[in-house]
Amino acid sequence: MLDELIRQYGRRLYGLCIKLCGSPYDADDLYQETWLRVHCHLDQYHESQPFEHWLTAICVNCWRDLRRRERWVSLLVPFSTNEEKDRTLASVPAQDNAAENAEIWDAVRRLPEKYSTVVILHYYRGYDVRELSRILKIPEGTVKYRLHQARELLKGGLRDE
Amino acid sequence: MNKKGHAISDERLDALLATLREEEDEAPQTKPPVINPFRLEMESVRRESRRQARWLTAAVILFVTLTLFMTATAVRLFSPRLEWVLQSPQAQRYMVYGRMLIGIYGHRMAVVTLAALMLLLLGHILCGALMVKYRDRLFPNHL
Repeated sequence: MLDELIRQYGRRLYGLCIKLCGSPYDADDLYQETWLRVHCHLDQYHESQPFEHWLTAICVNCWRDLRRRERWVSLLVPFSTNEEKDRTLASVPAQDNAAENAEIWDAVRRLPEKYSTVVILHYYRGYDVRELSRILKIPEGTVKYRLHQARELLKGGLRDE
Repeated sequence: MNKKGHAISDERLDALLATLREEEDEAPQTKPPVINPFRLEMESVRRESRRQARWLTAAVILFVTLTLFMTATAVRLFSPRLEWVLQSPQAQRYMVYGRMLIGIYGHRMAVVTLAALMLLLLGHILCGALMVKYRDRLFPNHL
C-alpha cells in the first residue's frame, strides 16, 4: 500500500520538500519524515479529500516541526562567530543557485514561515485559496491576507537595480 | 535581498512569481531517497512505547493521588490540631472540599481506610518489584 503511494506521489512530494527546505539534505529528512507519518496515520485518512492534499498537509506540518526543532538546535551549534557560520553554510552547494529564478526563491524562503508556506503552495503547487484553506486548516480570508502580505513583503524585498 | 533601487512593480512581481510554477513534467534533479524500512519499524516500536508510557503515567498519577489521600487520612487521625486548622477562616474558604472529604471518615472508619491504603501501598511496591523483574516479558518492545 505504502509502496504504491510512494510510487505515485513520491517524486512530486520530493519536489515540494526541496522547494520548502531549499537544500536536498534537509529535503531528504523531510521526505522520510512525511512518509513515516503517513505510514503511522494512514488509517486517519478520509477519502472525502484528495490524498495529495492530505499528503501536502502532513509535509507542511513536518516541515514546521523540523524548523521548530532546528531553531532549538541552532542555539547549541558550536559556531564561535557569524562569519564562521556563514563560511560553513556557503560551502554547502545550494541546488537552486544556478537556476534563473534563484533570486525569487531566495526571497520566498526568507519570508516568515506562514507566508512562505502559502506562497510556495499557491504559486509553485498551484493550489487555489479554497484548497489552501483546507490543507492548512485556516479560513479562506486568512489565506488571502497571507498571500497579500507575502506579496507586499516580496515587493519590498525584491528591488530593481 | 538587494536593498538598492526601488520596490518592484506588481507586474514584475507577477512575472517573477509565475516562474515559480511547477511544470507538469518537472522532476527533482536528484532522486527521492528510499524510505528506510528500519525507520518504519522503529516508528512502530516508538508508538508502542508511547502507548505503554501513557499507561505508566496514568499509574503514577493514581499512585500519587492515593498517596496524598493516605497522607490526608493520616493527618486526620494523628493530628488533633487539624480541627483547629480546618475551622480557621482560611480553611473554611479554601479547604472546604478537603474538609468535606476528610470529614466523611469517623475515627474507626479512618483506621480501616488507612489500613486498606497501607495494604494498597504494599501491593503497589510488590507489583512494581514484579514489573521490574519481568519487564522484558511485560514490555517486549520497550527500548
